[in-house]
Amino acid sequence: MRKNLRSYIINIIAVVVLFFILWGLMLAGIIDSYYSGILVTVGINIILAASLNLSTGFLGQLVLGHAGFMSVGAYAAALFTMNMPEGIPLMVRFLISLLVGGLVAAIFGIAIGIPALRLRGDYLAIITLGFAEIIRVVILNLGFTGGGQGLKNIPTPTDDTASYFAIVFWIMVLVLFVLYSFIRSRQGRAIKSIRDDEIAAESCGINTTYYKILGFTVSAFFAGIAGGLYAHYITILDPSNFGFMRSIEILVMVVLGGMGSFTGSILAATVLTALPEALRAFSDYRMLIYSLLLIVMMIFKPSGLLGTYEFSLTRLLDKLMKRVPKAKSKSKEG
Amino acid sequence: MALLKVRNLGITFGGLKALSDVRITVDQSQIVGLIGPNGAGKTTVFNLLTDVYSPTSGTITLDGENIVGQKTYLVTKSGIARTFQNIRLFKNMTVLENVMVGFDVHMKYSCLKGILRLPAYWREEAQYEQKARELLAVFGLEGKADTIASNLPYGQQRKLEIVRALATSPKLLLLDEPAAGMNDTETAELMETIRFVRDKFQIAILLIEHDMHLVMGICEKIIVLDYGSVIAKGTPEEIKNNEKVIAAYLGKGENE
Repeated sequence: MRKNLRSYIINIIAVVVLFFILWGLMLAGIIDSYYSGILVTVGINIILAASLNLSTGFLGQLVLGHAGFMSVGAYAAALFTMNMPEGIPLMVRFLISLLVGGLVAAIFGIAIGIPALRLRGDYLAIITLGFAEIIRVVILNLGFTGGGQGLKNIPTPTDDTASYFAIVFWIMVLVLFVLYSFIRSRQGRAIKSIRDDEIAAESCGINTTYYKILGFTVSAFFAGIAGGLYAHYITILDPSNFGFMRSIEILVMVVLGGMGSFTGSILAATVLTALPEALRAFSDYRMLIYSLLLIVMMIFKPSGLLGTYEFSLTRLLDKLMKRVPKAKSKSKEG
Repeated sequence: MALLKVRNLGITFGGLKALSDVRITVDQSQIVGLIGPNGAGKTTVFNLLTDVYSPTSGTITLDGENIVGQKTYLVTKSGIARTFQNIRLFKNMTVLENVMVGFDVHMKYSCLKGILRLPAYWREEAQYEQKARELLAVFGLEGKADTIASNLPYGQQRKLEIVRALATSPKLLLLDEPAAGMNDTETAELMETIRFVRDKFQIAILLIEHDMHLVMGICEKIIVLDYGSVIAKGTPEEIKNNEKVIAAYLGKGENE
């Protein structure tokens, strides 16, 4: 208990310090609004990658339709903000709409998960891909979503990119905390046991159907929240943004970072979002680099950068301070 | 008193009668062996007991409660735990986590309490981690608690599977070829372990095994299956001298 408390304090301090460094640099103008914009995208992608990691890395179900849940969340959140009475402060509308986006995505997660999770492996990948495409085509053809012209004039809670970054950053921290606590609870243990051996899990008294749908739904919920954040940042939604390639991009982050490691997802999402911007000149070759990266990865380290290993700041500090590292005090880095 | 009563059990796969009219009775804290030539249907019996398959006919009652047609995880909750012929551990999880999954049937805190880390979470996690460590210590695995399960040596993996099954507090433990791939020393140790489990936890054990030394050494009752039916049952002495059993294993002499 005391060890955990210490671990919490270390991580909270680290997150706060990281935030104020970035925030300070933005206020000082050293990180200009272009780069803060990239950081906002990094934050959103971290949420997407970490949530997909729950269903693909921890639950072991190959899901190719994460962009579908993201789009449902994005449209639900945007429409909710736009249609709520003007009298309510925009910030309140925004926060509620994020939650609504998450919940609607979660409902879609349950509805798709119940039939889809009867399949596994490649078949599940194909069916989730199919569902995501259905969602995209339906959005494209509905009236109230703006169809192919896109949903325009989504109010943004703040025009200042630095302030929006602050919102995204803290929501991201909250999402990561929830995911991390979830996977370290008995429910999370059940989910990991299904990945390792479904038959054995069932014979240990684990209701595998329930936990598969639970993991899938939680994953969809956070994809919806990320969608909401995306919608209010971009302020215009176009169904073509949520196509198959978006799902693949998120999956690449998960695979590259390590299936079953949230810190791996954080690392990969950051690198893979920042890298194309840094290599603006080669943006045409981005997918080429992606595929090469993946092939090299599959040959030399098939489990991803971190595998199932979680980087722990507490453990690192312990090592630096020459204490005996105890595997028990694993924890996340913000 | 009979703990497990299997009556008239049968299953067909398409046109194949895998089992017919199987009758098994296991008493409280009795060690029963299930033997038979390859393909006799032994593992199928286990799969029917844990409701992996549904029987075409017959009844299975555990402690007077009918368990046919239940979900596998509910069968575990009502008191049957099993191990597998080819070890099925949670390979990427630690030894401790493996046992904690077994204890999951006793844990109650909800998803929300786990995420918010409410007192119930800390209390139950600490309580069952303590229990899991104690159980591991009973089997001499306490030093391995933080090892990844797939890194354990073979014999200890078998043991861990038994520990995980015991964590669900079964009334009946099913062991599917626990001595497969073990040498004589390891088998002797396993025999001790099985006896010890029965004495310490007061549970009944039904085991499938090809190692006759082990079966004859620890089983109080043996049931012999051949071509999906029970051809003999009795004490090890009776089985050793049963002609039908000898014929099933060795074939009949021509001039008999």
